[in-house]
Amino acid sequence: MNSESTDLQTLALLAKEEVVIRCDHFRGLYALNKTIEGLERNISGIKPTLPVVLTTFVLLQLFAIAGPYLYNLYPDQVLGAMAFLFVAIGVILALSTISKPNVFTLNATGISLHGPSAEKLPKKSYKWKELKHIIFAENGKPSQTPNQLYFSFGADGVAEVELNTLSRSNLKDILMFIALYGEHVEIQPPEVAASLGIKDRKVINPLDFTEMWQSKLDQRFAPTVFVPLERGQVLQNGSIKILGQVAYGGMSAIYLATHSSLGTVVLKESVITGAPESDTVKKAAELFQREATLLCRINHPRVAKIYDYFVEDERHYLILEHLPGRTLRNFIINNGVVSEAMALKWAVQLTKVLQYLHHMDPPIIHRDITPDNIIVGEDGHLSVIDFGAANIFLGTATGTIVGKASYMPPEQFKGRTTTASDIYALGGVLHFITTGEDPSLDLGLSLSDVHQSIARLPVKAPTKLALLINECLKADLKERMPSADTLLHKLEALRGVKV
Amino acid sequence: MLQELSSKKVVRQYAPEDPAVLRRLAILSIPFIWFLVEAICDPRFGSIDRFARVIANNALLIDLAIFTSVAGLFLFYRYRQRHRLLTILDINDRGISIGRLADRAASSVEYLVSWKEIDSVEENGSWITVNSKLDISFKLTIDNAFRWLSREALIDGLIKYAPQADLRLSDHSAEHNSPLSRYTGLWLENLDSGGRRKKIKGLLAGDTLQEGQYSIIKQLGQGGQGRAYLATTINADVIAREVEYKDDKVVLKEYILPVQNQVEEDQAMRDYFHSEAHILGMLKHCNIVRLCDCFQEDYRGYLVLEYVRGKAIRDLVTTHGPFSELDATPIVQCLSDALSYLQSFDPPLIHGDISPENIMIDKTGKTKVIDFTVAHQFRNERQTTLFGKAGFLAPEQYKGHNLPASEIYALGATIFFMVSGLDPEPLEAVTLHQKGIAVSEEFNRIVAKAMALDLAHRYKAASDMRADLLALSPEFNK
Repeated sequence: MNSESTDLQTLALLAKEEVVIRCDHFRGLYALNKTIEGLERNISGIKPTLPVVLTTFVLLQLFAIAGPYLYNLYPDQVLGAMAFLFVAIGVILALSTISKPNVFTLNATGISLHGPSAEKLPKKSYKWKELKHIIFAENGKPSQTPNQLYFSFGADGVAEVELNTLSRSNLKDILMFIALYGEHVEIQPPEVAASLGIKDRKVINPLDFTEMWQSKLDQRFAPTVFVPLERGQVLQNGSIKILGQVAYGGMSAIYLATHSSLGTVVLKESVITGAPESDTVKKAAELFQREATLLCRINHPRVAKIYDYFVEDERHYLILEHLPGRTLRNFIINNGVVSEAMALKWAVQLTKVLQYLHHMDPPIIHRDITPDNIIVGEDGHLSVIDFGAANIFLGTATGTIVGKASYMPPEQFKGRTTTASDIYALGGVLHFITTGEDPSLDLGLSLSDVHQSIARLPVKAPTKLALLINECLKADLKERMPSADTLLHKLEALRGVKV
Repeated sequence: MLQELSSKKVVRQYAPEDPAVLRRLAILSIPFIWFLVEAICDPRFGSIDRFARVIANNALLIDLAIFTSVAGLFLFYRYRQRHRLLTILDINDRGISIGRLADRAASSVEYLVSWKEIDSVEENGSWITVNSKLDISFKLTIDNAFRWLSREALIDGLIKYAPQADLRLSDHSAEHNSPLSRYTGLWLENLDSGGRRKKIKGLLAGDTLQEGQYSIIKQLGQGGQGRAYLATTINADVIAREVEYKDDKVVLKEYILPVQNQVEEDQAMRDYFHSEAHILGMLKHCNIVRLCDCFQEDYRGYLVLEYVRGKAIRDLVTTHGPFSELDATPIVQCLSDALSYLQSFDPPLIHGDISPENIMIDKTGKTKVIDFTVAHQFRNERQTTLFGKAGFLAPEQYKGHNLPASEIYALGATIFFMVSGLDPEPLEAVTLHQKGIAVSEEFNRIVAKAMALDLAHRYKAASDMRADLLALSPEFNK
């Protein structure tokens, strides 16, 4: 397989053309520390034998007698000398804090070093082939629990950096460049070379995130009926510029874009490629317009804002807030299910969002609450993204249902969506975060054979939360949790009991 | 109670000074302290007055000494402090370990904050504070805190192990001027197609493909997955080999395939296209549209399909009204035959979108099943994405199971539409008779059995349904 070359290609793409690493070098501090250390070593090196004890005693006595005597004779001079000593110490201490940063510049040709670490090296820049070893060391010796990094240039000597002064991304950059251009470079000790352990053999794998991309790529991009916009294309007379494609397939696409006044935004595109004058297209466009106007009014900190909508070239666009983070599905897949206490906390957060939406006038139904449409933000809280408007719009235009089956209640299939449909979907999400499985719809039908292998409700542990989730997941509207208010009330009560 | 606790709270911002450094400083200062103590306390030095007088004589020098030594000590202290800022070293199932690695100026320090004791985590400007219930807080600068471990790792840990922790972190989206963190940016660049597509718009009449082998006549229309064109081919013989008659017209079904720098050659990306081509390639049945060829050009995939001169059932029903039972029966028989053909494969093939739109009747009355876009081989696993038209989806499909029997439901629904002109209600068992459609008792029974919500009451296999349909009107089977 050519997976190795793919990895290198990926690395080449990842590694920037040039990386400049600037790190502190506590030179004075080290020097002072070394001096005192040396002094201390000398003092502690003297063994307290009898002559030593005697000599110390005699010296102290002399000092005690002579000091005052000298002081009596020349008090000003003695005090002056002492003051001088204090000045000297102050100056030394102050000088010791002056530091000069180490600057490493890495690029395709090689590495150049400036600063105290590289002072002893005869040259300032080296080609990659001149770099012989990378040594992870602890107090000067190669070690598996290192705190220093040595660049060894053979006969020219070494440059050393304290790992404390580097960051993980600095190290990643260095390792990437070495992986790319310095295949011959030997990394010592070999154990570290294998795991690139920094502490407790914690793996720093420069490729860990590329893997993630590749698995995603197959899911994110599917053939389309239209040619998706490309990086650099502009919309709305240049006020929106496409940064890149996030996902596309069928009749819609999602882009990351910069907006002249809003900064980075997400752009959702829907394309209906029917005859432009046909009734369905017109009707769908009208529906889109109406939905989008409503959605623009949403203003909740935990809901991705919908800034604006427009139609250009017969393609419909929604401008959405860009929320950095991972989807809830991704999070659960990578981290496993969350504890019940956390699920409860999240349940309250999400229910509050639904409560807000359902209390708007007219009530807004999200219609597509799934783990893929919920983001675990950089603050550890959940946010809801991606309103179903565009999907509904496409559905009307093509008469086709496309969606996550597990998160849709039966009435939604029939096109009679109510606010309770969102409650069902929320129940599904909670089911997912507590069990790691998508819920399965209980229609009360006996499905034989093939279905028995599939886990059914109720949720594994019949806790109070599980019972609540079950209540949300009722297929029958009459049995289901009626509103977000009720659900929130019950959740809060449950939380009260817990605390 | 809470206030009491907070008043006693220890806030740790820095690793404590290395005792060795303190010891060394102490050693350095011994002679000075000794001399000072002697000078002040020993009566032989004379009176305090005299001491004060001597100091006054040296006032300038002593001021300088005091200033430089205090300033030096202060600078040194601040410098050490900066050096001692805490970092998150590790996050594991026990807790967060906070501290710093050893270097030449200090030994390593490590504190373990167990998950259970974490009360809250706050972010405040450039500081992040981990508050423990044990009256201790760790205050870290953001730069330093995430030197080794990412912010995500901390949040993951907190969510996983410390649900009780109150998270008051700021969402960085607003602050970052370019929230495209490095890797996202690179990722997007990586996916850039780099303007490799030659054509942005659809094909126009007269455009040729495959070096002139196919030339476009017109666009036919499109489904959810791709456009279709009518084209002529110069290789009519090749087509004739596939279909039993000679025809220079073909339908080209187009897919715009994803283009990316990195994964350009990745076959997995073209799965959609290939699975349809693959499945169609396997099929040879007079009631199923014939695939003659497939090729890729300009990042588009094309399926070359037999041109069916006819109309979809939905169009026929809209223009001419519903079919009579008599007209519908032969069509329905053909369809059940096509379905049983699909199901005779092992594993069975699933068309996935049997509906009035996807069944064509040509001028000679021949029935053809088209559009194998979502077709796949039956796998006993759940599909998470629902695809189809509401009334034509069987209940189990809403649960994510696409079974061969779901096709029978869809066929039943299609027949229902053919003879009634009504779209069936999703998930509701209504018979033709209940809707007041005049059909024979047996026909009604067959459709109802095909559309049974419960799998146990539905036809198990398309061949059973075909048998029932054939028995319906022996006069059609000559």
